[in-house]
Amino acid sequence: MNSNDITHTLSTYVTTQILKQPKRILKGDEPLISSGLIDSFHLVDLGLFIEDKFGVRIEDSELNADTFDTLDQLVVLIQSRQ
Amino acid sequence: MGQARSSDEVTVIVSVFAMLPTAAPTASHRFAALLHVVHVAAALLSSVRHAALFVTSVLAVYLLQPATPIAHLDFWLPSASLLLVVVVWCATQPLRLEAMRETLVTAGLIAGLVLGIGALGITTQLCCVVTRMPPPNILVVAAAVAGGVLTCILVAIVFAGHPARTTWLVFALIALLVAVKLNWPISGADAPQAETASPAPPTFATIQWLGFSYIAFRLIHALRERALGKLPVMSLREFMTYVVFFPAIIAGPIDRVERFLKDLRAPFIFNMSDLVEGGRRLLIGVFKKFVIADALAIIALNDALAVQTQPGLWAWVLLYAYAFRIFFDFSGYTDMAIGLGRLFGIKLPENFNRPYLKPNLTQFWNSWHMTLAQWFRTYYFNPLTRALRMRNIAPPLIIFVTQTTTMLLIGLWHGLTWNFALWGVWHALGLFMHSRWSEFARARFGAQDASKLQWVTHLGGVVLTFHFVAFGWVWFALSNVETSLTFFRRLFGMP
Amino acid sequence: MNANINFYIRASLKALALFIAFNVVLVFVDPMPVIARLSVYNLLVPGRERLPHARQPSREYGVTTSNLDVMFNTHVIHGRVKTADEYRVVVLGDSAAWGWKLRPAETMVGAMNAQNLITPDGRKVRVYNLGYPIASAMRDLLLLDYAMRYRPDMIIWMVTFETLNDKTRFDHPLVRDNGTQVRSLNERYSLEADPALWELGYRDRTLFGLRRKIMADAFRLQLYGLPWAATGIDHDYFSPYDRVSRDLKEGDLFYDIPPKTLNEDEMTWDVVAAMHQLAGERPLLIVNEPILIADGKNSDVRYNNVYPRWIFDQYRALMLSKSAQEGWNYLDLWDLIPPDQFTDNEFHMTPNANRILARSIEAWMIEQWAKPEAAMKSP
Repeated sequence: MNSNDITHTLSTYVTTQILKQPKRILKGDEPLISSGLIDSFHLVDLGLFIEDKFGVRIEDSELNADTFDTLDQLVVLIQSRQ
Repeated sequence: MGQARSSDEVTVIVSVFAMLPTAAPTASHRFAALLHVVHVAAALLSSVRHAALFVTSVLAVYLLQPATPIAHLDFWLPSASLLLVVVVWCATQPLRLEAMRETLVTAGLIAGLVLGIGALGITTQLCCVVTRMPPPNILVVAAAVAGGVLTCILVAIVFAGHPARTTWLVFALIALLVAVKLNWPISGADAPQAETASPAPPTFATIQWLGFSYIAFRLIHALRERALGKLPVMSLREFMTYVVFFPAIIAGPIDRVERFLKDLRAPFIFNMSDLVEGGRRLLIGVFKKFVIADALAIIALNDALAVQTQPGLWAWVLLYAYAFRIFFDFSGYTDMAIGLGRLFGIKLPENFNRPYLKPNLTQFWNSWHMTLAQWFRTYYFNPLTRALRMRNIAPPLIIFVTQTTTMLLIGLWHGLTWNFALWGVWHALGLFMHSRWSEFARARFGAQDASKLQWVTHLGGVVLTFHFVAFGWVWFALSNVETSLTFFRRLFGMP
Repeated sequence: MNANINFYIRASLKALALFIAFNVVLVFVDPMPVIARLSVYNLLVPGRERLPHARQPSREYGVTTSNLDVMFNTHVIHGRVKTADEYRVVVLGDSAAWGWKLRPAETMVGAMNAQNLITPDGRKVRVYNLGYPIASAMRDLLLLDYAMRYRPDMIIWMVTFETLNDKTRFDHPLVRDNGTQVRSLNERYSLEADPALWELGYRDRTLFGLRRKIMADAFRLQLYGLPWAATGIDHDYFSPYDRVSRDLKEGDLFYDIPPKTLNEDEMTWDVVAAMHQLAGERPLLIVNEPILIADGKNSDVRYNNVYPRWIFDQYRALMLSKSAQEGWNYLDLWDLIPPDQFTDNEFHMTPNANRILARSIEAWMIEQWAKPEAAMKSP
């Protein structure tokens, strides 16, 4: 998968499953965690989704804004671990 | 390149000051010698940074320990801290023969420092230079050190190659934490007594073990990382420096060992940038804590004022004063810790990020005591949520259970009292309500970008969140439920 | 980064220079009169009913300070501009007058104010408590001298033997710490004070010495205004205490002095004369305050554990004769209060006793106003 696909998959997941706003468009540099958009519970969900979908494990200690805060950063992280 | 520039700067500064008293031209080669000495000194200091931090931190555990009503505990508690660190190191590090020499040197140094402090007790003038009260008999100390060494060897043998066994140590540390935070009755012989004939009723107090809450959490962090196979290999000296790092002993922040080692292992030379940044941060912290917070302490809510205050306006003043007092106090301490660490090239993590300016409780908890919240997320909330998610349980229920138990534990980490528990539960309920409201609002109102309304809702959120947190502080500040309820009545104009 | 560091160096040097300059200025200039003028009392919070004095600041919501400006700026007398219909009475005295172990309303002054007296010419009587712990005539002169700016109409001075005992005349902390004022009083009334009292060394004048402590205390006293306003507490009157003993110790010593003749010049008559000069036309009443007259062991030799009979009797006789000789207003109420109405020492009384005391003094005041020659002065 190229980074655009990954971005799209993630974005769709976040907007439909977490934010429950399917029509919303997430910007690549929009802060997701530090803004409170994705709370700790949904962050775990996101981690599980990424594990399922991309086979990439994000550790419990990494589920925070220091590791990734935006879609772009998350994509880079996933790609680095595939 | 960076290093060379830094030392040039030091040279320039020192030379400017050196120049002032020695303006005469004949001083030029005294001058050159002075610069050379400064170069060497800076380089030397930088190379012994680790050793200096290590020794200072070990001593600091004793120096900062407050006096205890029970005899000799102000020696044994810090010693127990050190022993626990060594034990956990032995349990989590692989046996490496090539590191044996270094380990023995470090262990010897630790033992030597402990014995040395104990030996001070033999003299009368020096006995209380490190510990507040005279330390116990040197033979007892020596026996304890020997026992400690044996324990560590045993631990190393038992735990080597069995990362899963570290869970036992985690439980042991938690049990120890509970024991420390319980209110133990102090017997009449040890309690300070008035000179009345009748025996005083038993007083209760928690054991004042300096920094143990933080030490235990750093140790549990190391143990858990080991169980997950993610703990870096490190020397005993590095691990000890990490756990009892003196700037962060009293009030954190709770650093992660990998991040700390990165800074510790990086080549370091004293430079203006670190000195200036660290110094500035330290000064800010001192000002926040010793000027602002201590002044606010006079007008802030406490047990006495809670029952003495008139109902109405003044109760609110006391409440607001407390809300700001605790912020300036805690963030001041954190600033001092981060500033001090920075002086030595250790960039400790932040603990606060403008918490009272956040528009909702979720973001508040992303910006208050951040390292503690992160610790609980990493080792409790996230694993628990993952486990519960695997089963077919409704998300709101999972959120409720995980949030409530996490906040309850965070409350109890501060102290095993009803008030701290209620404080935790208060925040849990707030977080849960916010999460439900968020879901509802997002579904109902969509992504409205009406910028006119946005600042109004933002401001409203900030005010609401601040007041919710402030009410929570009533539980945190006061020591029993009755006083807290009395104060709530006073807030709303009732006697 | 270079520019950054230069900035910090310049800033630090400037700070250092400012600090040195500040200290040099402090040597020559006393900032306190200006700083003391900034007070939350009588502005954001109510004024205190008595001068601030606190052994445990965090429990009593006050700070003991020697700076007269700071002390008086917290007091309710400072906040109340004297109107044409106010008859202003100030009460001076020791901790009994101040109200040890009592709420402000329970003191003698509180009891008097509760009466809402009106003078014959229709002015409302308002009494102000300027008592202060530890008896000292010199201290009372100092306080009265300061208080004259508030234009009192009448002065009531609660004294006991120790107030007028020459031995401790300059020993009170307020006297020691207000050298300038003491010097001025000394010159005006020829009181023979020791010049060392008002010579503040250079070190003391700078930030690191006395002035820093004064400023810090003043600041804290302002902060304590808030809990004072919220709770009305200015003294620890709620802690339990041991009742003063009515069985007395053996012997007849006054401290370490055996029975002897009390000489006139062992009393500070010059300070009393100075008080009268200061009072001028205003009525000044000296009250020999009630003391515990014990009824237990050794009470035939001693009145209480402070006063053996020989010294107190002589003191009373001297007071009586001197005040008659000088024409001073003097009320001897030493035995007004029964022994069970004393609290934690030989002078501190219960609220009930303070009410009785207040009635006696009010009776004198009313008598005073009734005299034709005591023509009621306009304010």
